[in-house]
Amino acid sequence: MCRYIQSKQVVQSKIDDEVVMMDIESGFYFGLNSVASIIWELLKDGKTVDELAEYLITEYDVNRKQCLEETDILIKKMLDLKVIRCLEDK
Amino acid sequence: MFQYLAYGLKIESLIEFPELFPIQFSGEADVYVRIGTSSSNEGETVLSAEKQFDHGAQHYQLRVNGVAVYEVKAGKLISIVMLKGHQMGAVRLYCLSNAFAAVLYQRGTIPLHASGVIVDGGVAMFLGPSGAGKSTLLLYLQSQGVRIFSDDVCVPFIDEASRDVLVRASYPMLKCWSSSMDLLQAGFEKKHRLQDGIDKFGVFFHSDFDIRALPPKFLFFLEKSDKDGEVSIQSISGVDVFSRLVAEAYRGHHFREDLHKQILFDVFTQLCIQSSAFVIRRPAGIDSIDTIGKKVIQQIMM
Repeated sequence: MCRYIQSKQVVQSKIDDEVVMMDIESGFYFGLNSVASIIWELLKDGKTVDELAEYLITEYDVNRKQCLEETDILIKKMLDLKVIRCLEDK
Repeated sequence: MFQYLAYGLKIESLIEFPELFPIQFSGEADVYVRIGTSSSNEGETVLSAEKQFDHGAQHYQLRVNGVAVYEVKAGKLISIVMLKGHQMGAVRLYCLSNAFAAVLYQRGTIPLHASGVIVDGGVAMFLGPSGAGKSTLLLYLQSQGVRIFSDDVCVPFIDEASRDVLVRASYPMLKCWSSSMDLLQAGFEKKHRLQDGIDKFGVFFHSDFDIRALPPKFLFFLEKSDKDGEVSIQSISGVDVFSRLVAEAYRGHHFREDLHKQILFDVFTQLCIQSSAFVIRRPAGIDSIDTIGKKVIQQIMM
């Protein structure tokens, strides 16, 4: 299972309860809402989708299946945007 | 030789600019405005009646037919070659807008398409494209006793000591359509027509001009709606504010090569953090300045 970590290509800043990120090379920027911001913070250290979902289940009133699905979708979006990358399994 | 302060920069100019705030200084200026000749100005040879604009990193050229060719280098030198039939008002107008925008980008700052008033030691900015109603709103607020800070352009930057964003004004003149001045019926003098054939006038506020850099307090984004309805004011936050600021980088599409993305990110995110932000929507084609003005005053005085 892949362990994901933030890419170093983006700068980020917290505005209110959202996070705005920018790829300094391209100027492309995007924002994350409050839950996605928490996931983003967790990805500083490298996490699997299961580990992320596990954390969210303990914090939010959400079932495991839905949480895994939505976390997976967000991770795929972040991979497309190249703001995270997959570390090799250890 | 004339000396001025504009956009927070010390200017030394061979052309007189009544629009600018006169100061006296010795030593180096930040920006020099020179009168070029067609043989000394590269822009004149590169540009033509067909090709009116060219630029690269630290180098900008603009030709305005019947007015002048402007060349801006390294954020330090504006060279102007006047063209046949030019009028000085138009020569100055394009210099103060496009040429100075080039200066600011080349110096690593990002000007905002924003007007501003002074509120409790800080600045309330009104942002939007040309025609959004920034200057008319400023005239209205001035008529209600609010002190004007800047028209059309404000320059945010990060203060090195505090790491907070501060904002500088452009220069002490509002540019306002004749019809807007009539609408407000506040007895503004139509003395300084900006350009022959255009019914737009300059309103000076030199005696009340604040040359200090002030902290931002409010961001009001002005929007026109095609739908009927009432004027609305809505609080916004987060990434929405950041996106709107990016869209209001003054002449941003002209200056991609000189746009410092890290500076843009640092300054605009900090602006978001330090300011309360709102969108004001108004129906197009209806005079709503009184309603908008009252809503703004209510918000900034809370």
